[in-house]
Amino acid sequence: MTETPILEGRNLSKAFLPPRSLAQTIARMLGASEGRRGVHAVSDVSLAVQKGEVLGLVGESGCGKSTLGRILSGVLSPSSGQVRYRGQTTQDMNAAERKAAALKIQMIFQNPYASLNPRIRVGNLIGEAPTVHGLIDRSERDDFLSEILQRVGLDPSYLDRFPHQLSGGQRQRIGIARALAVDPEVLVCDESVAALDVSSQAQILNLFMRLREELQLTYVFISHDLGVVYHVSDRVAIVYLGRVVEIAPTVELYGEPNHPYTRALLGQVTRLHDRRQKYTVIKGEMPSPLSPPTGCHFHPRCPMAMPRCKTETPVLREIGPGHLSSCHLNDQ
Amino acid sequence: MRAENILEVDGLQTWFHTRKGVIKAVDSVSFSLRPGEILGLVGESGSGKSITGLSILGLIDPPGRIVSGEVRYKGRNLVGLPEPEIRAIRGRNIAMIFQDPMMTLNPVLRIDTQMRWALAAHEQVDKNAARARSLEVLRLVGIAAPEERLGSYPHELSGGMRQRIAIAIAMLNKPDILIADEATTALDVTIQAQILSEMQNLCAATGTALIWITHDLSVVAGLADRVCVMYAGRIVEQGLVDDVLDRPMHHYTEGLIGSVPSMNARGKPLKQIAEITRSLFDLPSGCAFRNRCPKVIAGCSEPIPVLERNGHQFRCINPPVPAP
Repeated sequence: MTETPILEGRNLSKAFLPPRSLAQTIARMLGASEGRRGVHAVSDVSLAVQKGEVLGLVGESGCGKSTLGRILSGVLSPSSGQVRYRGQTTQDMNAAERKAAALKIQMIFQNPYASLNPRIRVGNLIGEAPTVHGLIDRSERDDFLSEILQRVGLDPSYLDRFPHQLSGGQRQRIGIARALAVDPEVLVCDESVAALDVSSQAQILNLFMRLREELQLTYVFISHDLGVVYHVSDRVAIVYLGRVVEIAPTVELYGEPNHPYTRALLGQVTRLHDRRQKYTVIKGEMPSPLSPPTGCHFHPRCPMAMPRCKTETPVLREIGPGHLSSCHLNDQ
Repeated sequence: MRAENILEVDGLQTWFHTRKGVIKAVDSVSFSLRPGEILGLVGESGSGKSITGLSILGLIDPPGRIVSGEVRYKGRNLVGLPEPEIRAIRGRNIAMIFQDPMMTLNPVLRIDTQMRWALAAHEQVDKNAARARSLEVLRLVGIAAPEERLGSYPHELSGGMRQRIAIAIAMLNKPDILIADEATTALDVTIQAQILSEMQNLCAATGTALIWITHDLSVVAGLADRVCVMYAGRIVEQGLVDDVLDRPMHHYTEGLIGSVPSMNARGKPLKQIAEITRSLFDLPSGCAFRNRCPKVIAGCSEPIPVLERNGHQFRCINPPVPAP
């Protein structure tokens, strides 16, 4: 990959710490080291997204995939590490560049019922951001909004409606239109089709793919649904307890999964062709991110765990072209 | 009533009388259930699948009302039974699991108290017997260290664990029928797989019949013996899972199957059902699906009879040509 990635995260970590108690504040002022225990939602993740690519982020709930998406889109700032947009961090940019870069990465949220203000009409929901940021004039606002609505497959007459007058699929289209209104290059979609029925899900996925071609968009597609991710992604990263455990081109990852967690996850997928399926169950539940296991986070549930896995954290390294995995088994 | 059926729903109509008009949430729904059988009830949101489940247990509140039809449990019609009598059946003979276990569990009571109360609602039990029975069902649903869990509060447990507790509570009184309404929809695939495999074992071991309500066809494919597909309050197709999913006889079922990503080539546009703004107030006459259907013919606006071929029932007069 010689080209500069459009969006890159380097050694990203995010910890959510509880607020300090009075005693802790005093201890800190007196120079004591801090012993606050928090959730390390993301630890030391590096990823790059090339222009025009769809990168899927897959993992169970609580694994940190949404936090990672929020850091990449700039909604959250990382505790450590850098986010680079076209090779530049926000420190490298001046104020105007920073503002422009922030608009180029937009997020689409999971729940179209919660992410739209119920008391604001569709026209204002979509039109507010481009007006505030000076992307459009008041005079051209109506034409602009009609065009955006048509682009996401809605009739311009919807501009005067309120969110409650729309179906789930239509609301999600409004969420997409709102993101598109500021002319972004990267869309971070956080479980954007999870709340929808199968038939609306198909429509929204088709819309994502059409927009990708029409506007040369890049996607970070966060989902727990392996079937959906297989369908839309070029590359897939598997996240477990805040770490990327495997990343590979989609067909390769699904065809030849390397990491035991990826293999287990793929064994859980319900498919239309499998009747009276016998599920291969991963033993145990995901450990609490408050006290993650030592070494490889997956070792308590891994069928192939070795003594080494308890003590030593495996490194994410290349095992094939573009295929990275973090498992000690690859050293043998 | 056929002797082997434990539950028969016959011509069930649950309507909601609102100021704007009448919503026929469930309209002439009929199906039956045998002991130990797993029946999938599939449909999109608003198709009436949850209301069907609630109607069986007599849990319909005004403005909703069961207008006509019968729900026969072991030959006895439950519709119109006085509340004390249906209460004796609800939770004991027919139990229900809901989507959100936090709605089922009382957040301020420990698990053991909640389980004891669920038992005490139907029979006199002493504390030790209740505890023994609670431990038994917790093991049945695959909970590790059940003794510890009995002393926990719901907020101390993970989502998957809570849902298992909710299932365990439903199993406490050894019901003949369990109705699960989107019971794994909110859970991760890994937890879902665990719960689905527990449910399969449970039904095989105890002979409990299961009605699994979901919008996810692939879950039904892996779990159920038979499936009913609902659209706009009606069962448009029902039969054995293999028959319905491999040879759908209704264009709605065919469309649903086609829009599942794994049924399409990767990266190609998904097949989709035509989108229209639907309102349950003004459904088309005849087949309610006809304004989205790709193969409408003249007769579709007339009332559609239930047709049958080898036990596979469908409401379509111009069915998709079954693949050879």
